[in-house]
Amino acid sequence: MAVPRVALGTLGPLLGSGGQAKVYAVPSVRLPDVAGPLVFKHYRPGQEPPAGLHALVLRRLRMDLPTRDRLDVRTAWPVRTVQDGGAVCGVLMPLIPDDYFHTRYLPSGAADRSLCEFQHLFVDPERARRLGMPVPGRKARLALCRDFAGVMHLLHTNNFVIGDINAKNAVFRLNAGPSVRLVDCDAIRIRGDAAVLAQLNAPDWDPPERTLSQSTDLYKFGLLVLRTLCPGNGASLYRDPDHVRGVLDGRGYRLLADAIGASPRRRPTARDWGLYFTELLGAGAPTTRAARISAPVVTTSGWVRDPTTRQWVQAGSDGQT
Amino acid sequence: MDTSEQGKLLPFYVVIDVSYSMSGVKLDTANQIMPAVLDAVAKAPILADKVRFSVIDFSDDARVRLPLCDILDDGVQLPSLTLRGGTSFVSAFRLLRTEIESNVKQLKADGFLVHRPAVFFISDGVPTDQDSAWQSAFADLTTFDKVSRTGFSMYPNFVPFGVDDADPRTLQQLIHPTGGGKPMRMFLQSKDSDAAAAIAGMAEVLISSVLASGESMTRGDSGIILPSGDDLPPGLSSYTADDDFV
Ligand SMILES: Nc1ncnc2c1ncn2[C@@H]1O[C@H](COP(=O)(O)OP(=O)(O)OP(=O)(O)O)[C@@H](O)[C@H]1O
Repeated sequence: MAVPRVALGTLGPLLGSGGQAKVYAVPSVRLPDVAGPLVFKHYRPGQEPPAGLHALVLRRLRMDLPTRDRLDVRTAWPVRTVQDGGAVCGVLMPLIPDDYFHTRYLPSGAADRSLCEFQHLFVDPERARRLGMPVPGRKARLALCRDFAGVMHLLHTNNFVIGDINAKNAVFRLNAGPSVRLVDCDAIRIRGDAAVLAQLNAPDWDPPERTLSQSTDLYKFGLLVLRTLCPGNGASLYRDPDHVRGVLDGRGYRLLADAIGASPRRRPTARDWGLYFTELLGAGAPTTRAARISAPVVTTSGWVRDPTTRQWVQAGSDGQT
Repeated sequence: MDTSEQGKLLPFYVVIDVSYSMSGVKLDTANQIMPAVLDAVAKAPILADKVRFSVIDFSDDARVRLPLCDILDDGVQLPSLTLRGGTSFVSAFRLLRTEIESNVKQLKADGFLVHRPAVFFISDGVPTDQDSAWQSAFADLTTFDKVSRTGFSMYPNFVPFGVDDADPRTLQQLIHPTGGGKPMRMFLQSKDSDAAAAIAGMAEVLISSVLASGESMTRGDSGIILPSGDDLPPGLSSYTADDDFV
């Protein structure tokens, strides 16, 4: 199920680049089994993940249609490997829709469009607002946690181990119902298979056990819930469930304490979490509306340099522009 | 597993020569270094839980232009550099030592663990001090004897950057440490490049070190990571303490 590099034709615009790869639009390429547009993730030389990518591609193709469709809208799954001269040089993935990106001005005044990574949710809301990032309120945060639990449930029931849950590998959107997508899925592992590439822990996300499994996913999800619900300076390092007192009820506190506790067997499953958040949000509650009411998405235009003093000033404050 | 919530901070000191020779496009480019760093941290804002920044400029004297801070803090005002006088390395090294000492003490008193600080030192000229004077001020800043515990225990990792008339042999003596598990390196303006491009390249090296520190800083790791040869921005060449200049 590999696509030859030449079959992609002329690549579309470069959409982004990271340490591992460059990502291009491929507007002319469509696949019968993928609903929307695709992107080509071209690994930098020496950064190609080994053979295990094929297994992820195949596993998706063997899913029933409803499951596959759900996978495609909740992850940036590798849908095909791309080969160049017999070796894997990249993958095709569904394009992440526009509303997972956020456009703002950086402090220097430069315009920026980037993915709404979960790390922005951990930042002190006042600071995030000043930096021009969306700042959801409590209800929208709970809804994002619930949606993440839903993605994890989908993957766990289909026998995957996510492995590297961290501040950058999940992205969110707030319109159209707060929802979450997993990106950078190349490190996902099929349960029962040997790890195709050593599954790694991001700094500050390491679980008590050495070997990554669905249990360590549940641990890392606990950290994600804690840090998302208790944003602030230092929150990206939080490990203590006590921060969540006052944000969650007693049941939520106990779920969290078990999730990030040392005993893998006590950790609540994705389904346990999903049920809990659903109840908390009120069954069938229109979370979009709740989010809109409690969390006006505020955007500032950032900082500009005052031409006379050459100091940085907040654009729009005190009548300065 | 590290379950403590205590952050371990990596302090970056950006030290910039503001002698008169730095005039024009060099100074303008140097003035863009910190705004570029600020943008990079704004794009990866949880880095603020890991790194701190200070800016020191030096000429005949050295001045703290940005006291060590969380660069995303509301109150932070990035300094704009202006030119004055000569090129006293001694003044820069002395001020660095007192700043590092008091800053690290302060961070520890505030409950943080602290990585060994990193100094990015940029100059376009030769020191106006006597050789023996700057050499001894540099030794005061960087020498520490683990056995007798004499010297400066908080000595920084020192990364010199040279543009235009900077003397490679002089700057090479500022690489610290030169050996051990993580030797530092020196960066020079490439022969076919101009000083402004090289200073812009320095900002990129700084930013990539800052980003790398968020990716891989773990306990026991000494903190700073410099980009490897292939990832060098245009305009710069990288040297070790042992490289020869012909
Ligand atoms: N499926 C996608 N649809 C649209 N844009 C994408 C998609 N995947 C990646 N991008 C863009 O490309 C950029 C780099 O992608 P990604 O983070 O996967 O690369 P990477 O090299 O693995 O990153 P890292 O440096 O974190 O290892 C993203 O920040 C995003 O802007």
